[in-house]
Amino acid sequence: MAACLPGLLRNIDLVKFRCSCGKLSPIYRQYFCRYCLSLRCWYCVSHEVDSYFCGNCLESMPSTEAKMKRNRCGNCLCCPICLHNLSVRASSHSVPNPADPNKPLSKKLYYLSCGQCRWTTRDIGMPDKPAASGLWADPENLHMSRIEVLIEFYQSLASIEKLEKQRKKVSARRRTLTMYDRQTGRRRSSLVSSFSSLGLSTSQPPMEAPIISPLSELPPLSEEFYSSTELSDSSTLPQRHAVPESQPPSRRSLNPIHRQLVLRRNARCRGCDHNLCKPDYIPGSIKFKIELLALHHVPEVGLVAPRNPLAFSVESRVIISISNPSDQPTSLWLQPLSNRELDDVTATIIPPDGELHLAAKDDMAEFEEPSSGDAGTDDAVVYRRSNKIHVATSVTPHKPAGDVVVALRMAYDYHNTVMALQSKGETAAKVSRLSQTLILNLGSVQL
Amino acid sequence: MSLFQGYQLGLNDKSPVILDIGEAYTKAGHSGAGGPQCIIPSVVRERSTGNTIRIRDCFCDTERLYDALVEHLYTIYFKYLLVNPKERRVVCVESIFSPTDVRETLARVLFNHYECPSLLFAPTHLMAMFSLGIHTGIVVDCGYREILSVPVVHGVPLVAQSQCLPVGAKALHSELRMLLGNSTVRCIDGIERPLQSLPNDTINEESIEDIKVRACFVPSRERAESHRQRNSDEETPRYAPSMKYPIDNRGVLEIPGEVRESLMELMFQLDDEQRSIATTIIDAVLQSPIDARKDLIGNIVIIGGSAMIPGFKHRLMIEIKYLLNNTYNGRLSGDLLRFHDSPSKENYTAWLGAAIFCGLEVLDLRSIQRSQYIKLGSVPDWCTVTQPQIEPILIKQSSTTRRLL
Repeated sequence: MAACLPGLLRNIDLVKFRCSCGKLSPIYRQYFCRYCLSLRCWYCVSHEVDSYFCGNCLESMPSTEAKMKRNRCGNCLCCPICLHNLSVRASSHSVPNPADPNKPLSKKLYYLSCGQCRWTTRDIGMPDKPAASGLWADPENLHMSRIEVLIEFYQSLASIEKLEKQRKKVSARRRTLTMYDRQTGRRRSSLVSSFSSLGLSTSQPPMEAPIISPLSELPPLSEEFYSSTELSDSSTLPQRHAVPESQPPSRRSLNPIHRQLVLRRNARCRGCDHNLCKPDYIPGSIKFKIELLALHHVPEVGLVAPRNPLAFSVESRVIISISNPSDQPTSLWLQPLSNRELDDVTATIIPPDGELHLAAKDDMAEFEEPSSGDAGTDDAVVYRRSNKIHVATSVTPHKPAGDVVVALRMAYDYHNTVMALQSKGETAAKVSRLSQTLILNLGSVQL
Repeated sequence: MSLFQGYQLGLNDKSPVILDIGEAYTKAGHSGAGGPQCIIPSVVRERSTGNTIRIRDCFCDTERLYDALVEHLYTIYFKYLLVNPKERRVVCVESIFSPTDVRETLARVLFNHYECPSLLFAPTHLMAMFSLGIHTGIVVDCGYREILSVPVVHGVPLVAQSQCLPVGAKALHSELRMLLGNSTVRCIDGIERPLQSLPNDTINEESIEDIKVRACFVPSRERAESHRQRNSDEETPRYAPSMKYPIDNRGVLEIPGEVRESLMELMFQLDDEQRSIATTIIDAVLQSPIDARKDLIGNIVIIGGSAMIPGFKHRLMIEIKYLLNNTYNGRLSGDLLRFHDSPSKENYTAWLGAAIFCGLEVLDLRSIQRSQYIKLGSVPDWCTVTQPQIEPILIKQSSTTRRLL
């Protein structure tokens, strides 16, 4: 295991699996659906919102509250300069004591300070507050009242339009409806409602458009621009964009920003609509309620040797490692893929023929002495330890430049535990033969 | 925002998502809010290569654009908006002149990959009118790639009369890079060198944009004219003082006052074809129907991020008045000139208009539903005659006619 680790750490993108949608990605970024028995990558999984929480105080929030607060945490504030967390600092001020004018009282006043860039609320002229939380005022959008009036105006026009459309529909149907009425002699309620809606429209006069008369003169540039030299007085674009509604050009008008909430995501298989990944309810917990990662169901393949670049047209020995993730022993077959199927293959690989046996994953194995392989002896296996084997293959690059890319097909026995649970009669898990396509990048050709 | 203000504005559980994917920045947010939730650069980090690219650069390659849009919308939905794409109707604000391929790809991404219930493509310039409550006016969009002046008459954007000038923020950035070539940089080792002698990547695109936003401004017309017309034997003119701009790990750049003042002249000076921003506005008005011209020149709406540079709007007004009196020989009176002040910053005015419009119940009458898209296979374009149109309803108000568009 220790011998493999540097190989894995080098680059996780060396071995890519082909997902059911056709895209390539490393196994660490894929999910495995136990119901469809196929790999699902980031593209072919539908992502959904699970819950919201604040990244700083880890407080979980229901969606309605998140909407009200515009996806911001109520308690945590961020520095407008560097978006780091603001911490509350206390300072004591002496205040004249109303009871005894000679003895001044010391009162605690609070201000916010950033640990990263040393910005404080005093820099913008905000007075220190007597309470640690709750009094840090948010500036309102000054245009809000005007926008509300505009929305009301357009809503009145929209309701008139809807009534017109209903009236058109009803008048188109009215002929057939009156014929029906002659037969039954009864008035239908829909006719009554259409008449009442007509009454509504005539009684309500349309609102006047709330237009503010346009300006004939625009204010000229203030004289201070012709003499300003300090760059640090003005805010940068990202700082302005962090507060879209105010976008203050001056650094002195930047107020503390409420921290943006973070989302917890569900991943759902597009084929069968089952959940593949569902996090725990508590934001601080890293456990999952449902965790169907490909790493836990598909044998992991890694590159062990060689460390040096391969030479063109020379048959080199390449050792790959395969490890079994399940707690049942499995059998594996490796086959090369023909060039016709894949475009970017630049080398041929001759994997070992025949069945490769892999032992079950044993969590206690790392604490025990390495035992001699009890999963049988296969010729091509170079090294064996608990659920991991190294196999030797030979690779011949047939392009003189570029990366050496080989393709393999790996067929293995998958023990499906979910099907066993569903059919109560059977005790043994259902075994299915699955196959995955692998693309290995062995580095660039030696020049 | 106070607790109940959201309910009043219709910020309910299922309020639609408004997206404005511009060339430089994307504005996204919920309908009913006073401003977008986020303004982020329109760049993505490709999963296949790991490079950071502009979405605009993928416009020619549909597959690459598809992947880039999937990534970009993922960030918008799950990092900023924090909503489930399957549950929210989408409104996409985009210019009438955007390519059909791009619109189709965006619709494919939203309907097939994210499974949105419905989609509406709202024209940018029309939405800008919604933020003001007017139905006629000329919208001047100062964007990244170009300045676009679109006259809108009674809710109809006049496509044939629109004028375009390819001087946007992109042109300003390359001009700034050229003008700063001779400026000195005081490097870490204490030696002063001109910027052009240092490697090309000393100043990157973000720093150039930063310099443009923080150091540059638009001076008055008299000042600009006096700088332009000075003779060489006169004394050196008074420019604004230079500003020191620190470059990470390389040194301190000294931005000369001349560059600070004269960068924006690129937009206001008449070029070789005698065109500038002011001429695009006047030409657009003069090409419009004669009875609409008074209303157009009396309702000028300026949107777009480039218009937020200090002194821009005032200078634009002076330039239009000057040109009307001199070059255009009184074909239009300068006294009719009126400018609107929208209840938003200029870079999200169109977004706000869409947010106001799309909070109404009539959104469903105009959107393309997912079932319709799956049947049709594509979205109807502005000039389509073969596909079924969504008909606009005309509302008559007693003596005057008002239309909801």
